[in-house]
Amino acid sequence: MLWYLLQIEWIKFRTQKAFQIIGLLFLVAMPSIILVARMLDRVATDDLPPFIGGASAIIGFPNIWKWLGYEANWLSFLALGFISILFITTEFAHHTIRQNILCGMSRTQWLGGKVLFILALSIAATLWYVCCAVSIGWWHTDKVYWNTIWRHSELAYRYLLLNMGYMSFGLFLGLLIRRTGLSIFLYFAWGLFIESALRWGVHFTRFHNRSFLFYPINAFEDLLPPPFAEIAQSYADEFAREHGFALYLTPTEAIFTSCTYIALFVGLSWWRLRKIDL
Amino acid sequence: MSILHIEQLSKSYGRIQALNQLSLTVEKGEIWGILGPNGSGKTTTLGIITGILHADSGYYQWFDGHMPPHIARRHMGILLETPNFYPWLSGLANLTLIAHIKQAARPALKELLELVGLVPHMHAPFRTYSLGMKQRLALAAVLIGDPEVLILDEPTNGLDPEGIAEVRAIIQQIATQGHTILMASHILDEVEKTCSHVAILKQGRLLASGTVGSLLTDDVEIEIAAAQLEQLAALLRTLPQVRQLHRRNGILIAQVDKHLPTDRINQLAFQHGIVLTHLRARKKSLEEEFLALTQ
Repeated sequence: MLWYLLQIEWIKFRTQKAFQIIGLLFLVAMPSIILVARMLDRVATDDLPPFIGGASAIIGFPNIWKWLGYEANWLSFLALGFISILFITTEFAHHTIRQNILCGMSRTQWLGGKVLFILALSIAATLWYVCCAVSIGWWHTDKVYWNTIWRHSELAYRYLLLNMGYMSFGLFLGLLIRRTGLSIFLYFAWGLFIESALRWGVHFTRFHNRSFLFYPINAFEDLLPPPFAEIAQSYADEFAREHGFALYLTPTEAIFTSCTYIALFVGLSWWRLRKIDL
Repeated sequence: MSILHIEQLSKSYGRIQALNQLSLTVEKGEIWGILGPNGSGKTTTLGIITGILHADSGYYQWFDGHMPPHIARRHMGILLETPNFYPWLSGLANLTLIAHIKQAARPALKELLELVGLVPHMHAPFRTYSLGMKQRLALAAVLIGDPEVLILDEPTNGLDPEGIAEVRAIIQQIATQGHTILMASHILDEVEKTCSHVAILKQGRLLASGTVGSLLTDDVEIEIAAAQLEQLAALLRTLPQVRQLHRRNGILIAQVDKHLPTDRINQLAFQHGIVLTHLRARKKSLEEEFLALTQ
């Protein structure tokens, strides 16, 4: 059954131009952007902040996992979330969801195919992240030891979850709104502005406790927190001292919160799909 | 075994009652024409029984409920209104996808494309197809897996006369192969020629259903004209077999029962010194029965 559903999605989208172009950009951008850090070696060491000794501090082991993870976090938000919306809204735009149901898929199978496909893409993106991290790290580390290579590799599992998070959010929005332009606008607006405004402007001001950290996009982001958070530790410490709690979710909290939101988004999508007339 | 059983199916869109307690049973091998003016509930009925719309109340079951609805749909070929395919995929790739969804063992896609005359265009993206080609591809899709049941909603909608003739020929060819067919159509002549049974809907209600023969009355309509039209009308009114008589464009139209042949009318008129200039008998068509029921 799983293979049957996956094959259906693959036949549908493998030749779709938007999928091909965004997929290719994602694959090219992940190593290319992080390799910009090589330019640091051309800068005189005295001009660099003390916490960056050169390119190897970013693209060498073990830090490559964190820096590449942070970059991949943005790429996934921009590219994979976008693709997941397209997977849903194009089916409504061309009424092909009707055709799929008429041909003998149940609504649960139809959604199951989408969830499996975003899981497959999440795994593929994670494998690419691991490939890029290992190969780039290998070339930019003076002395490579086995334990140094894999020191922060647990970030790969969290990256997998992050991909599932963004894409399940896109899936839910796509099913809720069913129009490509509006879904994409709301996805980016929520991820970039609305959630932050709600968290900081309303929730934090009103309640002033840690609950403002448990929003979906923030939870997904905190799976791979920005590497410069460690660098800007003094700000984080000051925030913690002032408010009595940390600025970021702990990895365990981020994992559980993300899993909850993924289940919620998929569950709500299923509920929505069962209710609507096609 | 009944192929489809519908019981008290109702559906409304806001205040509009699209379907009102529809009940119908379709047996194997029957060819049903579903007739009705726009907004009568034809498409809603087909939408509900094919799983894309939800009924407010009532139920339906396929194949005596021996399989879940989505598995039952794999034994059907369904074409509702316009064809819906992936525009970036070729005609062949779209059919391959449908064959995969239906889990058709031997889909014979090339043969189907040949049947609908699309072999030369099978590798072209669907978005480049003309409306007629899209409709023909949809018919090929309907036939994948040699389905037991065909459901066609206005299959000739939007086609030019040549396309209509092609699609009609394909449907008539399919109809001879023993499939059970449900077809919603505006073209009553097509339904009369193709279907064994008819259901007539209006404002969501089933007005009449049964075999085409049972819906058509035995009454005959006779057109008669003569130079002495008033005299002729007076004569016809004396005949007990004439049920109705009216005048249209200088011709008398008489509704008579089947026991009054035209040669008897001609003989009677001649005996009364009336020479007929026009005499033509014809049975009421399904279209006339339909209009009589729905107006």
